[in-house]
Amino acid sequence: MEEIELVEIEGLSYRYPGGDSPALSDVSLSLTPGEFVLLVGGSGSGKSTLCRAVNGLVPHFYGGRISGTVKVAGMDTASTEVRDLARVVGMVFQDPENQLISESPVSEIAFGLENMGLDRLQMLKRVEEVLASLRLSSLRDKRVSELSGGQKQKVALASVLAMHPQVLVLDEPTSQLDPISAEDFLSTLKSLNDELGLIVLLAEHRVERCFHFADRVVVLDEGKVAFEGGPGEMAAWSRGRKYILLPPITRLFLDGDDSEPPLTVKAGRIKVAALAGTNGHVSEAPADAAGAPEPATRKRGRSKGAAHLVETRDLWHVYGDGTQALRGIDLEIDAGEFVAVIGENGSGKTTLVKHFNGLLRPSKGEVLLDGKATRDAQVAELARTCGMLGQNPNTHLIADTTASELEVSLKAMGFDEDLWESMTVEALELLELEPFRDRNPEDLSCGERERVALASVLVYKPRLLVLDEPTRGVDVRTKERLASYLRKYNSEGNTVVLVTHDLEFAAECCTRVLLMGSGRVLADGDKHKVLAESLFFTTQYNKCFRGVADGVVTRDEALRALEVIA
Amino acid sequence: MIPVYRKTGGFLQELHPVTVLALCVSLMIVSLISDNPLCQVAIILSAGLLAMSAGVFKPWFSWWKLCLVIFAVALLINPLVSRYGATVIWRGPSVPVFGHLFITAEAVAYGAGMGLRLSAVIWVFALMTLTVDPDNVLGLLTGRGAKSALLSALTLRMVPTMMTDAGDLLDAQRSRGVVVDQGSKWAALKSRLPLVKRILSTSLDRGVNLAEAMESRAYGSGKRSRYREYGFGAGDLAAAVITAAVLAAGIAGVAAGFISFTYYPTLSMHYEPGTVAFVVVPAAAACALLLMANIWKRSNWLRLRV
Repeated sequence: MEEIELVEIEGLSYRYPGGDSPALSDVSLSLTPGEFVLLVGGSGSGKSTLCRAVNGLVPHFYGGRISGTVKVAGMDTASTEVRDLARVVGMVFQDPENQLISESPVSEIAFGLENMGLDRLQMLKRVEEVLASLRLSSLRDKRVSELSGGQKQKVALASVLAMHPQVLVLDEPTSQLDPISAEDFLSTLKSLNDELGLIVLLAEHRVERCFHFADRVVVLDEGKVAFEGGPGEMAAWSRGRKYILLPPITRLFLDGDDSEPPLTVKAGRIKVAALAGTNGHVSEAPADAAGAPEPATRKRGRSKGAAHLVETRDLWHVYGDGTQALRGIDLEIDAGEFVAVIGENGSGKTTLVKHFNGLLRPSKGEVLLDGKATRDAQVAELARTCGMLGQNPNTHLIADTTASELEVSLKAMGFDEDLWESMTVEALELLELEPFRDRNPEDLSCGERERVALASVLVYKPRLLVLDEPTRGVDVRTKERLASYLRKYNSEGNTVVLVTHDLEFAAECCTRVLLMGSGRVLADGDKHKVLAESLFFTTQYNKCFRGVADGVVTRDEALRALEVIA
Repeated sequence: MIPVYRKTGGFLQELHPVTVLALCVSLMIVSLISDNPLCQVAIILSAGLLAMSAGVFKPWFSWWKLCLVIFAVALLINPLVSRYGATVIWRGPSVPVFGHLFITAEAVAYGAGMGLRLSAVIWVFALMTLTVDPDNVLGLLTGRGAKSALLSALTLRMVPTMMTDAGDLLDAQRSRGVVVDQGSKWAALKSRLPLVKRILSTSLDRGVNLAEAMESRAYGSGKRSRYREYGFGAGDLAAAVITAAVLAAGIAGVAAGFISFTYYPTLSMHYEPGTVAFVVVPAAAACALLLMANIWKRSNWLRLRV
């Protein structure tokens, strides 16, 4: 029987008003009921534009030049208003903060229904139904501002679902969420797809979370469809390509010349177990596991009498509402270390690092930066030693050009004006930003802005660099670049502290891992020890090789282990 | 941080928003028309009892610092600037513009009375903030009012986000050594301009994203229906009776001179047989509501009917 295509895109090309190049070029795609389609591609590849073309925001909301056709349930989006298409296509956006209208979750869910003019009984039924099906009933009496990011995004999804759409379009809905909330959100999405037969078109960077859910994967590159096919076919297509948009475990087996690489950790584990069953258990520690010293070794290696770069003594922090964010943290970080701080949301990670440069003051206890107590020092003074990049790079960017952005930092740090040019050039070269020297940072892509913000800190070479969630919402290419800059900066003797949920990234870059929970340090030590001993806070490689090869946490270690057992 | 509305499921929060608004407004009116400090104390006490009945006493009481500051400011300023009163308690030197400085007992009492009145109004406002859901009030509006209501709801949503954005921006700049608010006023203003520009552009971006999200949820499709419907029940009737009683007692008490109090030229309070009765009406009414709320909380029969 021939399948009915609910969404038909034919030869779609689109250029934003004032755009230099087309955002989409000759895109043809069709979606059939019940399909789960994963849309992947680098930053600026056209994923968001394609999502907006399906619900009519492109071109109705943005203007611009469009050619080709997009038909949804027989309606041409070029001649149908977005508000009419909304009854068929529901859209969930990236940032939950920017799509919620009301302060009450129930009013939020009812908003779309009120716009559709439904009668009250129907609205009541639909609101209660989605609250129950998405397990949001307990949030009914809460305020939206009290909800976590994951809960807000679920409310956004509920408000769209209540309108009974046939197509659900989601533009990187998990980019602002922590891994646990993201997995919960995506599992909900998958069950909606399975049970209700909704078409799901999901644009996502973090493919490891949803690759195995997809019936079909569409790869966009510079606005064109570069690949379209099943996840297995996509893995085969990716072989030999430089930037691979595959889950780490699939990529690992692909590089190991496996013709049918596993798509999930479970499949990978079965494969590894099968190989190990014939060749035995690999007990030796991976080669670079020996390279990272234990905290005790670090202490012995430090010259006698020299201060730790960061030291906290019985550090407590209590926020105004009474939340005890930190509970008696004792910590030492020495020069030249590369530390990852991991843990669930609300575990105190950001609160801890904000004490390093004095943005937060201890409620009890002490923080020493390079031997000096931060309690009475100015943030500007501490910033000379401790440079910090927050979660949102946009908050760093206030100047009109990339070069002047860097000069703002140099001026604030009191560097001689004669040195500005050479220091700016050095930082721009390090982060490959020379082509954007005279561009306004606001006009750059997300990854480029992240690099400009990093350059604005690295330009004055702080001995301690603290980055809070630097990989949130960035594509694989930007992530790989970032890892190489950070490794280089660390190899020059500087200390890097990374607050992250991205455990693969942490394992690749860091030598030491600090696991936090409920305001306490739960584990601290060499990354192999901490990650290998953790059940959930560990990499896909470790989950895959657990019980077969000890201490495998990085890609290189996994490859070596694979060679040994194969 | 100023406490805001949180759903507690308390008696007052379950009433029609207009009923609770009317009750709070009646208390404010009595506070504003009466000079009697006993009345002000009764109103503060009533607001406290009503906060208890709504289950929001703790956040309501957390406004005490603001009330204390307002009271202290009124108490200190009035005696210094007031030239009225017969009982001089302090004579100071002669200063230009002000002439001979002196403080009268009546001016001190008037300052305390005004401080108490302002505090009473703030306590009632706090009660209103904690018991009336702004979404419900805005939801009552129709026609052009509905559009304004939506705009207000969006503003309410976006203001905290904007404040968070501003805090993050300041933290980010301080983290790279940028010092704002240093030097002359002009220099401080100049150093803030790029930050203001960034906050505005971020807010504009958020506004555009929000408009996109609204259109994607069929906003502007035609006549909107209304999810929330508010009915008046027996609880509203009881609250309305109490509102009327408070208002009537206040107006009658002032008009008949039962609760009159004069500060100048000398302090005088007129005691009439009915004075105490008029003063205790608001507190008694609040006690009645508290009692009703407690019974309501425990009785399923009453919960289903009121």
